Amino acid sequence: MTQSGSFARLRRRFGTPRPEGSLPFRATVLAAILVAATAVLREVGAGPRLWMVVWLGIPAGFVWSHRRRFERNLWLKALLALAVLVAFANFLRIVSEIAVSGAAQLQLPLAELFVWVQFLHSLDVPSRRDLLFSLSSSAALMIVAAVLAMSMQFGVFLAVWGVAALASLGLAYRSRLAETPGLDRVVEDENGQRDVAARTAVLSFGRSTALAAVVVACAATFVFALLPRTQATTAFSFPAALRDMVRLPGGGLANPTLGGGGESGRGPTQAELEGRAAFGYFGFATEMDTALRGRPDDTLVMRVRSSEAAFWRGQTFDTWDGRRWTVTRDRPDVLAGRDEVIDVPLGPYDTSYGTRRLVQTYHVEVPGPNIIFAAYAPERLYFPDNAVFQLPDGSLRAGVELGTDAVYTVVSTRHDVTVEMLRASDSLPLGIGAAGEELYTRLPEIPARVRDLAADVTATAPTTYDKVMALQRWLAENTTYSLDIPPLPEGADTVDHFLFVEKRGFCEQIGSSLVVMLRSLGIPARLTVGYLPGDRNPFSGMFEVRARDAHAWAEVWFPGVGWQGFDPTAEVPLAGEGPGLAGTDLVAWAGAAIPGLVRLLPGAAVLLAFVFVAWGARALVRDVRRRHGLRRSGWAAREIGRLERAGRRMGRIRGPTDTTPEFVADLGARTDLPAEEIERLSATLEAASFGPTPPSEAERERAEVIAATIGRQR
Amino acid sequence: MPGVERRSAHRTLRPAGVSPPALWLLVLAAGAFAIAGTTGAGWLLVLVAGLVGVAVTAVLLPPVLLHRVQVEVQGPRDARVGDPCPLTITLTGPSIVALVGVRSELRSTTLPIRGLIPFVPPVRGRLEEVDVVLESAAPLGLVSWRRVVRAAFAVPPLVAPHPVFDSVPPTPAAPATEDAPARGPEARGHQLQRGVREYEAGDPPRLIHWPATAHTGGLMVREVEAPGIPTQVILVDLRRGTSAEIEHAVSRAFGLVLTALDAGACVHLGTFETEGPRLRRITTRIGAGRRLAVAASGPPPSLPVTAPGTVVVVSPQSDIRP
Repeated sequence: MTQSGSFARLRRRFGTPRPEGSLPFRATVLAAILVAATAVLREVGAGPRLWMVVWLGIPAGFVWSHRRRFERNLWLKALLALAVLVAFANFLRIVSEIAVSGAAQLQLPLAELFVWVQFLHSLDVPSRRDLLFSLSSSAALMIVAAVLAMSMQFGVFLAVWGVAALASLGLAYRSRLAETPGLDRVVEDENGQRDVAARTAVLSFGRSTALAAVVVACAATFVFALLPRTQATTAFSFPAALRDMVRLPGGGLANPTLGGGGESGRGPTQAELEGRAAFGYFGFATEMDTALRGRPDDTLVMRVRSSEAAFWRGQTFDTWDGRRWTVTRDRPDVLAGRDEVIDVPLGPYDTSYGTRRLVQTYHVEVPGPNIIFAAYAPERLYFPDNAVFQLPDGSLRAGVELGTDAVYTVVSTRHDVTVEMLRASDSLPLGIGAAGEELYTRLPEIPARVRDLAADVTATAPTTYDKVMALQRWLAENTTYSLDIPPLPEGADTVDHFLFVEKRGFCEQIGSSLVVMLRSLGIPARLTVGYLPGDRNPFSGMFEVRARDAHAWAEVWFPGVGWQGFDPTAEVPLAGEGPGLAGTDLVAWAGAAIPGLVRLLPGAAVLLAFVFVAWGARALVRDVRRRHGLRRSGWAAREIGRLERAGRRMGRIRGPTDTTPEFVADLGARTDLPAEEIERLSATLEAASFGPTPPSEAERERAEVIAATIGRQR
Repeated sequence: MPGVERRSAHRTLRPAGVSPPALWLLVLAAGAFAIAGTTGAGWLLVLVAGLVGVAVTAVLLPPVLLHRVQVEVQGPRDARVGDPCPLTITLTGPSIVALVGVRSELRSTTLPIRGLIPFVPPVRGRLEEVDVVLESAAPLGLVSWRRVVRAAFAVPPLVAPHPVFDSVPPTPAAPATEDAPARGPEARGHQLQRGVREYEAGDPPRLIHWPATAHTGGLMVREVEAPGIPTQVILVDLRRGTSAEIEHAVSRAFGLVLTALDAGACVHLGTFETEGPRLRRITTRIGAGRRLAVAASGPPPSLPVTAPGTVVVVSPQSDIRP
């Protein structure tokens, strides 16, 4: 007995399920699949063949499957199983041709496999269980798309897919309950109860889906705020990709954002700078003229996936002539790698660094300089080319143009530096070598008052670190940050003019002043350019770096510690921020978005007012209708209205005290209709309006004929 | 139409089941979270949060919706053990789809509804309240919750016993006694009036006693006795016996009453009820069922010295025929 019961349960669970007849359920599942597949294809940049499979094949499969849902389809199942095996074999063949380090290139084949399996499955989804499985596989597709997505546009796909999925779940539940015998509805005395019931069911579904969507959104927001930030440190292979491999002369620096691209190996000319693109930063060149005034805009230059915020360091300048910074030692070494993995040694003026690793993946959004940005100090590079160039300062340059969609990953070693460590470093040997010390303390003839100022400000500072902090404090107290500063007078020293004349400037002036004053004290320092971390998008988890995030800051040598960045322009932590909650980014993002939303307030207020007015007008109309007669709805009201219109044409206007029988009798008297017919019409209208039992369909039809006959009278 | 009130004397709310898609959902969420940990994909966290949000909604929303459902129940005035007795149930509250039923037989419905729900009374008596079972996984259908509402009838149905016709003795022929001479209505042209009593369903309107009705304020009818009709007195004594024996005795008594009524006898039923011993004439099946529905353990009424016809005492032990 027990065995037979268990067997019955197994048959119920794994046996042939009942064919699903709900078209809305099938349609919402199809919508969810199409949205998910579209999101995947869009992220991987699929070709037209896959688009056709998704937008023609899958809907056709659903239609086919719906039509044949009552068939056993054994031959079809066998064919589909074979086709899935073929698709998987093809995927394995592609995988075998891709290098181990290039596993990130699996994105397209993997997406292709998912889409093909989805298509094949769509040909055989006869039952609710199959459709729910399809819905789950659409969730898997969304996972694939979410892994690849970086922009906010994915949010639209996610929202649409979510609504379709919620509607599918709701419809599946209703379909499941529909298999259970239903409760016999008691026919009410009111007119049109069946219509009301049907409308209630539709409203019920709409309301419950909307309620579910709102609750899910609230719960998801709460959960998202509590989830830890994403970490990108454990993947077995890191992304690296390049759309076009355009070679550059060996080791040269090209920066198309400065207009014309700049010839390799030299900085942009003044003519080039005047005609440069709007978002370029002139610090990404071999020479930086602090007399130039640039204003990079909001152009999104790259997205960085990293578990920590850091300065995305580009290169350093070592030589200062009073106005320009130059890279004097720009003869790079070639770093060769294998399978697109390149080990990056420390530069000749670097020292051993920390042991904590930070993985950053850079997605280039617009063609930029061929500088390979990296958090200090890069240790390993995953790059879609087997050779890059390293300058003596340790900075990296690609041998190819870095165009849109270029992707590379840098693994850096980080050192959590503390103030105590920096203060204690003064007791250690300098450790940078005589050449390094000479290079990074070298200064041209600078005004004496600059040297005197540095000496005065740091007179009471016992250590290098304290000297740096004292100078930073002085700059913060005596200068202001501004992008609107006048041109540098001809022949003027940038630092002297900034410190004693203008006292306004931006990162180049401020950073240069700190470096120059430190060098005047004999402390090795250099100017570094790169990008600030940018704003972290709470949804994609990536730092969005814009052209305006281009920045210059100082690096100071600390024996035993190495180069340590100091940003006198803003308060910058010594080490990167630690792992936190995703909700922190959400709050920050919302805070940044609020000013933009405030600008939309007037329009939103107008829209809101319109909605309120429309809502009020609707309520008013409903109220008037209710107060001016409950009969104004349903069959009886319609027929009485027809008779009233007929009465007006016949010169018999219904008065407020006329009852329906009186009015109908009066109209009937003006026609040739028999009196019993008029009485029948009157009785039917009364029964429909007030009677305990609604008139039958035949009675209604008969009454309509009589009313229509009256209506034709002139 | 009897007015009905809902009374929430007893409520339970508990999970009733998890559907396979709910488990798939959790597996997908866990997988996505693991992938997010290795790829650093932020959108994946959003998706994970959404999937968890769906799971949370699927768990929390059904009990909230069920809690807001109002239940009213109505029943017919008379029912019988073992016979279908559809109850009219009115469910109002949030628009949800749910299963509803009394005991385990559940029917699907969309709220609000006023519908008939199948019910078979299991025991005799005054049906004061029923446990209405509501089950819903709305709106997502992933996790089911069940709530049991004990709903009270404003006018409790009286559940008559199921009649047992086994060992029913043949109805005795009409005795010709001095008190009840064997003369039919045809002989005298009218019936004997023994008194007046309250109106019961099924009484012919011609028996309404208007002076007494006006005097008491309630509908009263003449209690007449056709002298030529055989009279049977059935006394139900439920003072001893197990519960099953008592119910069987009541069923046998009902069978006796019905057989006698069908035979055209004048039946007097003596029972012990809440108000005490009661001996009244029974004219209809419904009246008999109502009387026996509320028959309780207690001493049956004592008969007058000259009982009108055959007297049968039905007890759990046996039928005693004096």
